[in-house]
Amino acid sequence: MRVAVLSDIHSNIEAFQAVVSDLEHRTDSILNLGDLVGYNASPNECVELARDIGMQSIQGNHDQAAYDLSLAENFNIFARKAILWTRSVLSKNNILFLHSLPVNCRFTYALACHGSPESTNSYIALPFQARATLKKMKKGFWGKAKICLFGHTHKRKIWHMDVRGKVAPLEIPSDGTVKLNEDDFYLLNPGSVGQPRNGDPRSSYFIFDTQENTIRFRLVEYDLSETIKKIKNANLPEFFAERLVHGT
Amino acid sequence: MTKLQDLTKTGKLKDGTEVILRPMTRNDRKAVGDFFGLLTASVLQYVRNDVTDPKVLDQWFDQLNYDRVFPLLAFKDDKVVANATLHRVGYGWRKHLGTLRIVVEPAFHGKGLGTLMINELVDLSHEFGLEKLMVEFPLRAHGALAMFKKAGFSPRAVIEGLMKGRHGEDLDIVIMVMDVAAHADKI
Repeated sequence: MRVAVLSDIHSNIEAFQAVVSDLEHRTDSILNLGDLVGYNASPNECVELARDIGMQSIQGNHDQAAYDLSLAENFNIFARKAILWTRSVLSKNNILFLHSLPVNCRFTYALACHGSPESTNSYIALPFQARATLKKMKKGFWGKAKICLFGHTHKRKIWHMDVRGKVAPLEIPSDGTVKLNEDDFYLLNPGSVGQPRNGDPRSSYFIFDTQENTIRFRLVEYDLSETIKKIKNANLPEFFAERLVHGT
Repeated sequence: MTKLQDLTKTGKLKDGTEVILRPMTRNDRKAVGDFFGLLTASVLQYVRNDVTDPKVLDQWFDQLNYDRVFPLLAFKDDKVVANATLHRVGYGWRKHLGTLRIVVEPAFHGKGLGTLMINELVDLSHEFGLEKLMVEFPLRAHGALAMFKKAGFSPRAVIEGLMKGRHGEDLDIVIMVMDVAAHADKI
């Protein structure tokens, strides 16, 4: 089975559409690791496209804050402004849709979460965070999964634990294809569709071939100027537009 | 586009007092001047610039550049009660590193206001893509030490006798550092 793994679309419909077009018919299913909404200016369009294409989604912290504003109390002043705006424009049906999404998912081929298997808000960004999650996976905290798909950092990343228990990041080769070792444990982050922070403004995702046990990262260009225009028209902070240009 | 003064957030202190946090804008020149004007010499001795000089404040407001210095104010009843700044360098070996400075009105010491503002700036640092934060202050400022520890900073170095106090005495300086990514999910 070939699964397209997307994350952190963040109300960027131009980026989301470009990634869906890039997929063509190359995959059997599409999985979203959370944060359909927040930051950018097309929340309804993104939720509706997700529903139209039958994309399987889990909740991200911005999705949760969109249906329960008390969860935005700890957001910084920029993210909070965006989620208040998002809530003000989201249709009732789309809020209910976000609420109906699961927090985590267990598949035969992997575990899927937004931040970490333990919390939507946690980050797996540093070696000690990756090590803690991989050790728990090895002990069977979340079933037999050897692969955990996660998002939230907006940075594409592979963390790997070998049979000796050594944890290290794996470099993503220039062709974007990585063969996974069946004996090892992995944390895989596809990067962000709608607000990449790897220093490359292109949308990032990967295709996971569960038979071949490979992942193939893809980078997709989209109509950035249209997204920026919508951010300006929605009176969202200028910072959101600037960071899209730089991919930061 | 959203105006910076619209980026507000209400925070609750330990005693239940509510304060408004928001970025400093050009319109805050008088309120910020009033705030610094009420601080005592013992507080002002640790402030890096001579904020009692109106020309210094005028220059701050004339040269506002949020990419270099992001200033956050805390208001109680339209009066500034704390000023915290996040300083960034957009290139080179310090690109990933931010430094913090904070001044809190003495009447608000011990109420959690400093921690509230530092937490907000730490979260913004994460949003801005910074990886580390650094702060330096006199070792004898025990309140500041406790406040930054509580916010997730840890002391990494003490440099003895590096600075001078207002009476000319030697001051030991402590340097505290925080790993922003490690702390981001604890806020």
